[in-house]
Amino acid sequence: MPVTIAQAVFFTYLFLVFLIGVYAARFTKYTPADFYLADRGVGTLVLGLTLAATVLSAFTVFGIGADTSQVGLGPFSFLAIAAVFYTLFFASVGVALYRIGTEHDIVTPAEYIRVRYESPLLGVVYLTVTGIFMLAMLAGQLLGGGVALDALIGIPFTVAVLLMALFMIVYIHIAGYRGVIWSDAVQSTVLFAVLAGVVAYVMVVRDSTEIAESASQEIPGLLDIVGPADLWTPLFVMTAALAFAVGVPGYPHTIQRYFSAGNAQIMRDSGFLFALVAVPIYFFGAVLGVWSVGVIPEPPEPDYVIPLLVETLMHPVVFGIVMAGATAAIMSTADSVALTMSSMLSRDVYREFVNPDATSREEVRATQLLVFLLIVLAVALTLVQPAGIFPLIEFAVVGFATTTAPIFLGVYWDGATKSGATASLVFGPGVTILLFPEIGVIPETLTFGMHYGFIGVLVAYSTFVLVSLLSQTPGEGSVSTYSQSFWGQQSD
Amino acid sequence: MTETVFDRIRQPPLVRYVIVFLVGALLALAAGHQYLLADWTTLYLGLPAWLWAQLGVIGVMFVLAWVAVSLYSTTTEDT
Repeated sequence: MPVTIAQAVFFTYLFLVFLIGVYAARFTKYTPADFYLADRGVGTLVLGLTLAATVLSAFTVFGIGADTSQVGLGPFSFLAIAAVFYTLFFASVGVALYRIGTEHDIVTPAEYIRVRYESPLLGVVYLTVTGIFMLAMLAGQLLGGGVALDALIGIPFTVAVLLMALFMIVYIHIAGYRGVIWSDAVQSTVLFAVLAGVVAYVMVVRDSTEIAESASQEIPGLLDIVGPADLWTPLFVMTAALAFAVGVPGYPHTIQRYFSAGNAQIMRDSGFLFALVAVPIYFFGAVLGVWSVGVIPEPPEPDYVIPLLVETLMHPVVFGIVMAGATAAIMSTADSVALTMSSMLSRDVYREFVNPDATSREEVRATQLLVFLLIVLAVALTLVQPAGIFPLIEFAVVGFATTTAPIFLGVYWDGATKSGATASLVFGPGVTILLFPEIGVIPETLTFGMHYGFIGVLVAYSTFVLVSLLSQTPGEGSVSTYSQSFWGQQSD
Repeated sequence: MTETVFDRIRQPPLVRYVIVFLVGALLALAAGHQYLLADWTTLYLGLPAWLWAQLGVIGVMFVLAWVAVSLYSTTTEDT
């Protein structure tokens, strides 16, 4: 089979990404602080772009387009609103966690929970619950990668997923956190530039209005603010936005990035840089999705609409770059998730319970082994294909939102307790899982027009506060050491 | 030196009220524009007018968020 231009561009791009990892490996010291956090010295540009790349993933490149091609532009409304609120979280809890993490050498969110609440077991509970959502997120990324490789090269879906998993395992093993964030920065830039180019091309060179009118005729109401099924009411949009506004800054891999910032100002600035990059990319994915309906009214799979649209409209070189950029971004997101999860397992389970005398090198080795096992689990879930890319990653994001109360409130509130944290980590995620439409144990009517993730967040936070008020706080030492006043120490 | 209104805004407790007001304004803008723009359906460059206007609203929200974050960092930087 002759190699097409798009395929040649695709493989060249992936090879260049791999070289970044090999180059980063020269600086990696294989100590926990360096392997997980690049020695806490990450600057604004790289931190902002790696945050962006962590969020810009299969969800953004394929999932949003797939969703907007069916339900209208509502996903952009809530994601853009959420992005503004991300900045507030980065500047408040992000900075607070950066300070506490740096001062007390904290590397993972589970470790923070463990020391804040004086409970190694609570760290394990956090890890177990976030692990469910991390696996969903990893599976969503691999699904996206499978779509890209299938659409571009015709590699069967299963083989494509296995190939991506192999690439990720090798990449993390070699490069660690430094390689992941460097390649993230490249991915964000490339993806931003190429998607902007595609959108500008459709707007300026093609008759975008005619394409949009065709889409509107195909699905009446597609371009209305509430969408064709009147789903995107202000209440639904706001509750989805608030769930995401808590969820994205509350990803364990985002929290790990708070610990890696060079200083507090870098943390604040990178939050803005991240949001300012994220909004246009959300926009590009959303508009390409609705336009796709005017060009490809009946795609074989909704998740394929953006690859098919780009392939139909653009030069093969552009198509190759979009697909390679998307695949690389997907893998870098998945890398981040896998690295964070495995670092929590090795630091908060292996070193805490299995081998307390482990050397730094042994801890990193354990992480590398756990990355492998986690990716194998994620591959298994991907091959089952429990849901499409958008619903699967949406589920992961709102799930993470329900795990944030012990951290986001624990950072500021000295009344926060271990019992409150435990109850919150059980009931919030539990309700979210039962509300997940693909499972549907709790009927959608009980969300009263709100996004199901927001209900989970409400349950998680209210349970946390209520149970904390009824139970005993941890020792004063850990509270004062691992919490700080929201408004600072200045007197009135 | 004479204290300006901007200096006073940066002092507690006023700064806290200003920050809370800004966050409230962000929520009001985020929810309110969806009611106001619902009928803006004319297409420009292949996209409905409400979407272009929404981009403007998001831009304004970013500015407000920037002001809130700047004030917040001023009041907490001594911690």
